[in-house]
Amino acid sequence: MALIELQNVVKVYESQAGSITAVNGVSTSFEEGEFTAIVGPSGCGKTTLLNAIGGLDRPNQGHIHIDGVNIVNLKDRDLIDFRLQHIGFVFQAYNLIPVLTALENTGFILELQGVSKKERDARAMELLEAVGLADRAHNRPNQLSGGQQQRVAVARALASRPRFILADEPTANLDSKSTETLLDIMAALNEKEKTTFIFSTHDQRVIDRARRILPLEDGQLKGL
Amino acid sequence: MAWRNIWRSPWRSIVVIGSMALGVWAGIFMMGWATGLNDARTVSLLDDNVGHGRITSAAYEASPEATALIPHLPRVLENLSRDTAVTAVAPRLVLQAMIQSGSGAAPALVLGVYPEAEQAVFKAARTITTGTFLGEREADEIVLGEELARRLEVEIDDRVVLTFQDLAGEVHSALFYVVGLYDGASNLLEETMLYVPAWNIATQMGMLDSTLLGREYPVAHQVNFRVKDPYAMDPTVDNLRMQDSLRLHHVFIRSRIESLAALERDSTPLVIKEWRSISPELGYADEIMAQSLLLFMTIILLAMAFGILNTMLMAILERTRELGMLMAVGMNKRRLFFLIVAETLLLSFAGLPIGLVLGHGTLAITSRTGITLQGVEKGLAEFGLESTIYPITVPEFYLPVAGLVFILSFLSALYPARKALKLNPIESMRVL
Repeated sequence: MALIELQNVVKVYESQAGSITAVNGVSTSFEEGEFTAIVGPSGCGKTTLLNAIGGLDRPNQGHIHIDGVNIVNLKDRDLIDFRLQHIGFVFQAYNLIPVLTALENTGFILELQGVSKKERDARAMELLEAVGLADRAHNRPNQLSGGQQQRVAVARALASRPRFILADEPTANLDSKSTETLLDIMAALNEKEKTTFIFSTHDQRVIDRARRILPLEDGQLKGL
Repeated sequence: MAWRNIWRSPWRSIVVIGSMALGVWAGIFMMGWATGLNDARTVSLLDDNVGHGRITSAAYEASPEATALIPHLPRVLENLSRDTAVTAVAPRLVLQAMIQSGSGAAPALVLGVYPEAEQAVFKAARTITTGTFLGEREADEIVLGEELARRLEVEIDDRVVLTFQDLAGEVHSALFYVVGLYDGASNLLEETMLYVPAWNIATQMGMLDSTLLGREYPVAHQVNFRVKDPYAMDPTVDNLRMQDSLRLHHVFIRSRIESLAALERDSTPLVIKEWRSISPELGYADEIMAQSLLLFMTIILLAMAFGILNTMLMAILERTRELGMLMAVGMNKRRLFFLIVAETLLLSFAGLPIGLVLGHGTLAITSRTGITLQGVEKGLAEFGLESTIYPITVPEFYLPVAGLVFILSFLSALYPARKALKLNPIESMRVL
């Protein structure tokens, strides 16, 4: 069974100008250990699709099964818990908590899961080492560069050992050196920890490194 | 995390915490000030004419008849004199009478007093504005309130006639010379209350016989007394009640009069009251004051609560993106709610102890130095108060104030928390 299975997912946004179909009948699946990029121009529905997979947005039609659970049917409360337990998120704008140190940010999801401080600090430190930021563990986000913040965000997403990580344009705000470093780290983690990564991107550098490419156009998968 | 969040905008938080501290300080100081003022007024009224405690016979308590004398007065006085808390005693006779002058008549409450004892307990008997207080024990002297004298158009050395029923039920009239006018705490008292020597009125009433003549205080309807601290009265009264001799040991007033003989037979017990029972309105004034002060404090804190609510709303507006992220990664609504409530409570409670300490400190200092009000001496004197007011510390209010802060800040957290809970993670994260 595939890790993630999408069946005819449709997402329509209603606005005063009329309805916009952001995702239009997408059916695909993702296997464990994938390093996949959903690619396409701005407004093609990448982020909407990613939000739907991540349970942040409910599709109007279709099913999304993760490990056999149809998350479309989950109640709001259960969906929040499902996200907490099974999905890691990396956002375009890093979205670290400014009052927490890199170590605390990395361990934050574990804290929400109720993991003891000792355990989460150990795991967070291990991940900060993996992303090359062990020496910045006690710095707050405003003391880190954009690339470093995004590495902390990746470490945070990985901390709870989620089933997969959704990264929405993770390199959009990074220079090429930081992008390379981040991609190296994610590729290494994908290799070593078998972590599944799904990106949405239009960054050629990311596309070049992806092992599977899903081109999206006007809300539909092309070239399949 | 809640505590660190507060310090994202240090100046804003300092202003909120400072205003909370200031509000609590002002409220606590106001409470101490008003309590001090009220206590001073109460003590002044107690000094003036209420006294701190009063003993009567149960019969007098049930119906204040002239016959209802205290049945074993020497023992009562002896017991009071043994009590270290009691500083002065004043036995009194109390009669209803009509007073007449050449130009008018009025109902009056006649106090038959033993002058020195009366003056030791009551200020009204000491504040003689014209003439003197009563002198010789059996003289035909009378002291009126200024207001009554004005109404009856009498002056010093004028004659007035008191008409009253004696113990035999006969209507009796007696002539008195005005020797002094007193300045009472209220016009109402000045209009009705007047003083004559107890010995004189007791004789006229037919209360004395030869066996009583040797005593310092032969008869009384009331024994009023002063204690060291009128606010520590309950133990004093309880202590007096415990003394068996007061209730069980009977010393009877001998009398030829039939009604007193009846009193002898039924060995009436005594009633001891403290000032709150003698003058319930003074006790109520304390309670009303306490409740009003808490009401004022609630209003002050309510204003604070709106400030805090505003601050929290701003904080949430600024952090929309971050709150969206928290929800996206899996922070549930309960945790988010508690985060906002915790931030609000911390913001409030950071100011509370500062306000309490400042308030307590200010009260502790001013309770020793006093605060003198300039230009309102006359108004204060009308209430029987000095121009220097001594606020008092009010630790009994600190817990209710803390409780109020807790409740109001919790309530002020609800709206911002609700706002936060209603955020949609995706839309919130789009906010720049």
